[in-house]
Amino acid sequence: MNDVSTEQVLMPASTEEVAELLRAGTAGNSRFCTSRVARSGMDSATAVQRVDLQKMSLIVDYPARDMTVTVQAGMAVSELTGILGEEKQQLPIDVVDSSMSVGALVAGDIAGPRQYGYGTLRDYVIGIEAVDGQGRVFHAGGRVVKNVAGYDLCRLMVGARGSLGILTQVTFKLKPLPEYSMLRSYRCDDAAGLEESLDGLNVSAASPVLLDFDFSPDVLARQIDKPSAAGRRVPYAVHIGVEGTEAACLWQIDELRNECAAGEEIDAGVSSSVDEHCRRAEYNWQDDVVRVRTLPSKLMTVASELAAAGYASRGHAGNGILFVKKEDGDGRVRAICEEIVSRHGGAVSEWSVDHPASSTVQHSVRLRNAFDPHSVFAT
Amino acid sequence: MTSTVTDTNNCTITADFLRELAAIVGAARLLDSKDELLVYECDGYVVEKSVPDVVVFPENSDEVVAIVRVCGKHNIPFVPRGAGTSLAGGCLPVGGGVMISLTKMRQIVEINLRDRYAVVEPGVVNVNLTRALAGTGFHYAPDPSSQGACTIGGNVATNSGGPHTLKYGVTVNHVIGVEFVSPQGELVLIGGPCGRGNGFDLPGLFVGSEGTFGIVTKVWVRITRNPAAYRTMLAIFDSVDDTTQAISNIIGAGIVPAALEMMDKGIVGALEEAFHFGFPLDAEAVLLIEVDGLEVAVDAEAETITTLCKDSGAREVRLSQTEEERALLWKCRKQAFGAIGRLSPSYCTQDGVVPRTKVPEILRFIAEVSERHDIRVVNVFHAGDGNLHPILLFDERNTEQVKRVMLASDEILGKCIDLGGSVTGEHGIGVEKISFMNRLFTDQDLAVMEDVRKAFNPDGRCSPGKLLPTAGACGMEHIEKKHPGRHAAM
Amino acid sequence: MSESESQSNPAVIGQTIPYERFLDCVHCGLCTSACPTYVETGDENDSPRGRIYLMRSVVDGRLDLTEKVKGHLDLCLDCRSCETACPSGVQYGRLIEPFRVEMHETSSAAPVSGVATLPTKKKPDWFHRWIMYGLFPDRERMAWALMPARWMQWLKLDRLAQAVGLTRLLPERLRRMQEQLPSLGKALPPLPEFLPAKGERCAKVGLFLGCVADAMFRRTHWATARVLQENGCDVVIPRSQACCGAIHYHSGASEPAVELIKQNASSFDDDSLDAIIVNVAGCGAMLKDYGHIVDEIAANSGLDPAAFVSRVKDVSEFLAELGPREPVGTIDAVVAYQDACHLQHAQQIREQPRSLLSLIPGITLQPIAEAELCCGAAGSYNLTQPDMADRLGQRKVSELLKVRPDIVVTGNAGCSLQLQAQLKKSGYSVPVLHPMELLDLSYRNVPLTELF
Repeated sequence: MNDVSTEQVLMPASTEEVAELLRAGTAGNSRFCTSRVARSGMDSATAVQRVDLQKMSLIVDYPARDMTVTVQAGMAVSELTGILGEEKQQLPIDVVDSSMSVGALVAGDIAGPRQYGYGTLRDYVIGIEAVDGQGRVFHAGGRVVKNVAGYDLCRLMVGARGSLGILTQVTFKLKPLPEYSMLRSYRCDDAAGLEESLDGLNVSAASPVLLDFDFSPDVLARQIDKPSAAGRRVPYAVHIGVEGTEAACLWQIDELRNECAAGEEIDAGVSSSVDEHCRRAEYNWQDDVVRVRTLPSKLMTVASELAAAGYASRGHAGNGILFVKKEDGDGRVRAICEEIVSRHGGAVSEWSVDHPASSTVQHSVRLRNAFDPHSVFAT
Repeated sequence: MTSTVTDTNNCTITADFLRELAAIVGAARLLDSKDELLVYECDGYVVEKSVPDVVVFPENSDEVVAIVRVCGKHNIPFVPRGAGTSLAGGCLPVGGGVMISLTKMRQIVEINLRDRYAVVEPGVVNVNLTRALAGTGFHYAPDPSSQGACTIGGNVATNSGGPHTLKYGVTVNHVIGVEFVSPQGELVLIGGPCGRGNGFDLPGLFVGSEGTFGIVTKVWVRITRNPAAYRTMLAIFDSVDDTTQAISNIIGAGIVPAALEMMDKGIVGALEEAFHFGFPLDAEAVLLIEVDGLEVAVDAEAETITTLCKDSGAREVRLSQTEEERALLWKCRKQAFGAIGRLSPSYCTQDGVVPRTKVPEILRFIAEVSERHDIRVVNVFHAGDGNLHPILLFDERNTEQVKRVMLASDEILGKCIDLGGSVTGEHGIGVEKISFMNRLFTDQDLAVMEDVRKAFNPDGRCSPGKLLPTAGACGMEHIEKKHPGRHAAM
Repeated sequence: MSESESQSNPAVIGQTIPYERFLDCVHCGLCTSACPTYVETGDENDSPRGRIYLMRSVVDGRLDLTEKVKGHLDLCLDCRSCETACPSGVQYGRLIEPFRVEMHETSSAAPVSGVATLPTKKKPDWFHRWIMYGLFPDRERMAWALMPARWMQWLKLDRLAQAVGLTRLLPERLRRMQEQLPSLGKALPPLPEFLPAKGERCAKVGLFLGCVADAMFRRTHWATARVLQENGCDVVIPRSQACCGAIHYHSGASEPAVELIKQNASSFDDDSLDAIIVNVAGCGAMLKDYGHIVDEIAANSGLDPAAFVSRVKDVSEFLAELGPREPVGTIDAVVAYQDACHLQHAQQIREQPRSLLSLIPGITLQPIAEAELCCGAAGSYNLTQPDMADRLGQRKVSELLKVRPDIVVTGNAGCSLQLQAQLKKSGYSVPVLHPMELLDLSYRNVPLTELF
């Protein structure tokens, strides 16, 4: 997501080459980073060498009937999606830019709207191979969907953003591609109506895969991007996606329409399918937003207080995740979010600022020291 | 049989140490006399034994902190214990020391339906959380077969599974936060109701660490909406090959049932004797299949599965007609291990995993091993996950037969590894399967894992001798290795 | 110490228990959460798995039968909840009962195992001699003994005595008995020897009365007899029948127990009886166990209670098999049914009393949480282990009250006493009735108020 100032792009072709490169780096006081998962604006005191795994982009093993795939970390997500699609299977993780590598996907713990129904990468990565900061090649998990042998380093590597090691190979558990999917958007008249709808949806008999919201009262009209189609502004909206058989989708939409009685169905224009909605940048964590994670029950309170401070928000209502756009030149957004969250609970993050490597939590620091004692990974 | 198992260890318990512990929990919540310590020498795994020097029963996290600090001060190892249902010796106090029993920390602290989580103390019995949720439309999804007794703290330690984890995931998929006392005696919170924030997925790493990172004092778990509908089927087969083919075909067709369990002829016979369900005794194997979800969808899924089973050679597919019938069917499955007592005086069970398409191959291999070593083996397992539980039947009084059981077990687990699988899907490494770690992982893998252990537990005082072959501990060499057996080797 | 060695040592108790019964336990621990004492203390020494381990270790000579070990074994309620939970079919009752019998019959003069001292008979203390064996098992004596209490209750003198603290002068166990006394009401006449069936006659049954129950709960016996009559049963009530012997057997007094078994077997030795009906779960479990007990403590006596045992049925079990006639009278009440352990665990009878109650128009049966846990009554347990009995009693009361019942129903005399006392202790006055009392009212179409 960021352009990192680099001197040199290294393209190892095997795990052993990655290991050699890192061992050499340890000796030569070099620093490395893999694409996309590091922060921007890192200190450039030491030259950073970018490691690109595009030469490691093969399928290692795809026993489709096991519904698992083992792939080299350099493969582009789009390519993997295509291969899985041929077997009517998917890795149900939403990505805006699918040219991203599988390794970056896992290291960044990328997740979009469908995390409500499908969970996140921690629920899909069942095996990894990686190289740590001392050049040690290590494995964890395996190729079976259930396995409790050894420490679960898979979860540790998911979202570590390259600070513990360079992923070279990943095994995923897969899901079948749904036969059918539907997206519906509903408008609510006010914040109370939106909250009521969301409360109702929490106990719905339907099981939507995504449950997103928009919160931008009229007074904030200037701030949010104009709807692409009708030109009609929707201050409060809830977006619901369902997947499954056609009959199941239709039944669920019916059910959901009843439960969102407060809302009037609207035409969301271009993003009228689950697929398109999930690829829209504004419903994913990007560089230009501040992310707030809070309890779903606190979400509307947080959104209201942000609106009172002059900020529109949107996000994943079912997961308690909210995004606020950062304004150019005004650094107040984060501070305001932090103040609100300090009263209601939760955490505030920015992709380009917060990084697990900067965590001061003692166990995180110790793990960093164990995996990368010489700080060869630029974060 | 000898009465000296591990009376000796390298840990010196002094009167001062005992006094300091008693000052924390009081005399009534401390056991230190031999006659009351003996029952704590093993858990569900009775092959290896070690008596703790002291058992304490803290009632809150402050007491756990104080206990751990006193242990640190005196350099005494400690190990947590919940209900003691581990099948891998997870609660074995290797080298003696202090056993911290968490059975008095069993409050359900909070249930939040709107935000779909619950906060529980480690000693809460798994099924009691689901019972507490009765009528709310929610439940706690991980359902190990021992859920009626095992504790959520123990589930966190071993990353427990269960029949319904095929669709809903294992414990780690449902744990969002853990409060624990580090081996240095600090109260640490990782994750929480809002997730893990910006740091590493420490809860994800913690779950399944088998007590080697610290003592869990509180757990934040997700609670799951109850499915609106389910259909439970029993598919009956005349050959094991057809059965495994059906499993493969169901998974291969992209259907994810809520549960897909296989039981072979031997187990079905024992269950019929115990529960009188009405299983066909002449069938070679049966599949217990459950689909759940929307009322509009389950019938179609059940039909597809019925067709797939019949196409694979099923003689009959029965659909449970009543809630009682479904409940009895699940009771049979969950209590299957216990019913083995009706087949044989001793048994030994394994927990291997293979890729799901390799189930036919591993079952043929098990049959071949069974014949070659002349050891009867029955099977009941989580077929949908490829998680096998071959049960080897023997008589412990026949020492030569016991040797053959050990060999056969070893061959079966070795084959699981060869087929790309693992030696444990849900029971954990514990002390039982430590010798397999070198076969599953490279030296570098183990070195990295050892570093991870040290990041949490640098002195190795917390749960020594578990999970990693390198996690040495005082007194480990004193553990007397016995043969596997149903009968507690005393 | 090896099995054969330990068997040759007469000083170590538990030798008469077949060793295979210990081996049935695979140590899985699934029983632990079903055990009321473990649920309370969290100590595995107080769990079924732990107790089996303790007993086996004593038998194996690994452990001395110390006071602590005895304490853990004595704390067992013998509720058999663990047997319901056990998938391996361990006969826990057949382990703990004979073990405790031996434990109590043997003095603790030789606590060190392996020292070949012959076990010596221990004399029962005053409480067991006079109250437990002398008073309880005798219906006539019991009725006489209760007379002053009946009068005191009638004159409200009992409350006065309690209020001014007079009852504190009683020895503790007697005081507990006084506290446990139910409201005795007016004395009913004893049941006659025969009561004829109403309507079409479909069975002839014997009715077992027991000792304490007949004195304190004669109303329940009358109700049971009338319900049986109403369902077409001739009811025979032999005068010569005796106490079931459970009190004696469980406290280790095997000789009087054998005498009582003999007496009951001969009193009901009538081939024309289709069943021998019991309405007290504890007695029923004991009667059904006569075969095992004779094998255990009187194997060479020539006594064979098999014919007797095969006909023993709990009244709810019997009626469910017979197909009960429809009761007519409406009782508008929320009912909480508390399973007696000796019905649900020892006799595996759960559904029958519930379905009988559900037949009564107007009754709403509310399920309670922790239904499988003992209320702490457990026969004479609440006299011998008052602390644990109170803890479990209060635990049960709190679950019962959660469903706001108008009536609590249970099928065992001891449970009724315990629940009444515990409810009273918490300041509630919910009536505790036997299922037959409610059924009887409904068959007779009289209002609930008749009972109070």
